[in-house]
Amino acid sequence: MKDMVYKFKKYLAIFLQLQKINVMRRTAYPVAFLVGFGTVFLTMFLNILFIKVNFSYITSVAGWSFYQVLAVLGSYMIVEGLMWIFFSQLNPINRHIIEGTLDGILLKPVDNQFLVSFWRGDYEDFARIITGGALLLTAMKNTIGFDLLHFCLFLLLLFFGVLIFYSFNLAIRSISFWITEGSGLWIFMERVVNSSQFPVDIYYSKIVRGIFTFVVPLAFVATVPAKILTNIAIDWKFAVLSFAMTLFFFFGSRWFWKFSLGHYSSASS
Amino acid sequence: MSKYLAVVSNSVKKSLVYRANTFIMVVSTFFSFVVLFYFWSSIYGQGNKIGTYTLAEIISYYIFLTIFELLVMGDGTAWSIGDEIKSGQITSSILRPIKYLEYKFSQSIGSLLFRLMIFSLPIIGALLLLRDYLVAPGSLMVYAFFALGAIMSYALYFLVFYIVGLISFWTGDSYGFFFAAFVVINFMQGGLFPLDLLPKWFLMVGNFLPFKYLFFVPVGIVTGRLVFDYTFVLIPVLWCVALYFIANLLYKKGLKKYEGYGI
Repeated sequence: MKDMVYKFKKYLAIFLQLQKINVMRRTAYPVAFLVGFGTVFLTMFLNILFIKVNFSYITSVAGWSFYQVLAVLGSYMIVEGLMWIFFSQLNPINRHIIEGTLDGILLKPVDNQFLVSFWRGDYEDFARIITGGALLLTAMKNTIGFDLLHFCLFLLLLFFGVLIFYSFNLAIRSISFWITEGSGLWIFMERVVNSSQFPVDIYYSKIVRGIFTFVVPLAFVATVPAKILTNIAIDWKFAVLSFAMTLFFFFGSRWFWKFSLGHYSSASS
Repeated sequence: MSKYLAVVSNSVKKSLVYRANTFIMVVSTFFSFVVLFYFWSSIYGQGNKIGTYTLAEIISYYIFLTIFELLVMGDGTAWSIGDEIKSGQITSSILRPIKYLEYKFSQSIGSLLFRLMIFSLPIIGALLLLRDYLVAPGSLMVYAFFALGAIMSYALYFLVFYIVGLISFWTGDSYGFFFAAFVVINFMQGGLFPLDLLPKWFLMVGNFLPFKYLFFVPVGIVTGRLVFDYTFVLIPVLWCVALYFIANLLYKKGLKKYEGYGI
């Protein structure tokens, strides 16, 4: 027990130190930081505009009203924002593999998955969390209002969504150890996370919906949390399933990361 | 001329090395299309309609957007120029007896040829699979006008992103600027949704800029939403000439600013 507490304190201290460095690194060029921050805001605005333009012609899509779709969009923005802020090191991992600079991380006496995941963070993407939060408040206000149980459950499911998406991302990025030039994986993951801004009920084909729920777990990133936040009836089945999927993806991706790492042949040695 | 052909050939060979990566990019692009396909089908399946677009027209719009993404939009000219300036690699191009714009254009052509070789079959397969959703043009002339529009789009795309890339002479690390430029240009070309779904004043503003000729106009021609007009060629040609001069001017000015850091 004492050992676990010591380990926890050690990793927490490293995590906080890394965040401090990341904030300093990203704000070292204030103009570039502000341009990045503004551009992220603009991207979020265009996402909202896309939904707004469509809803100027329709009243619902696949049973989801405008404000419910906004809740999906808001959840997606928060998950994507957290991915960029905490786990953006996963994006250039192929470059580190090609150049052999991954060695510097692997040789440190800390869990390599932990370091690879938290090494870099893009804090300009905080704009996604601000916009996403505003959308969620608007969606809540215009649907069932604030309810403590729904809100706590929503936060828990959103946390599961972040873990599921992080794990899926880690597993996909691990493929870089085999194909070396893995910049396409970056684009793939970007497309996957962007796709989670639509409720999975739009996939009227059961097979496609099944794929986007269990294989590429889009449903648990934004749809399931948004459903809990904006519907009076709580779908406990999906809430439990979300927890089970989190465990499966988290431990599965950890195993796959370790397995893939066995194929790493350092370019610098 | 032969030196530029060598650059084209090298660019094709370099692209061929990373086949697995290219395959992943194809999968990613089709992934996005599948999502949007279901989104629109779901809306129209409920008996709704977006603007004056039929389901076939809106699906055709996104089919062509996917094809343009694979063939025209994805060669990363701005990013490669930015990298060369930031790392100092551009110095070797400056010292060679070549013109930088023509050199980058040759690289882009090589990348385009590679993409045509690799993506043609999947695109034809996808078009056959989705034939029921495709709006068929009334005459062969429409295809010819579309091809002309697509060539204009390619040239404009290259010049616009070449200029965006040159910004690195002044900013050093330009990822944020590239990202901003890409987001704005993508929206202005109709990459998010058809521009005629937006208010009329927006279209009026767009008429004074080159961006709608990147995608919205060529796809409008092939889907029959726009009737071909000589201005669809004349205006992009004038823009190409103007952007060519601006690009050369910026390059000369940028070189004066360049300090060769990173060498």
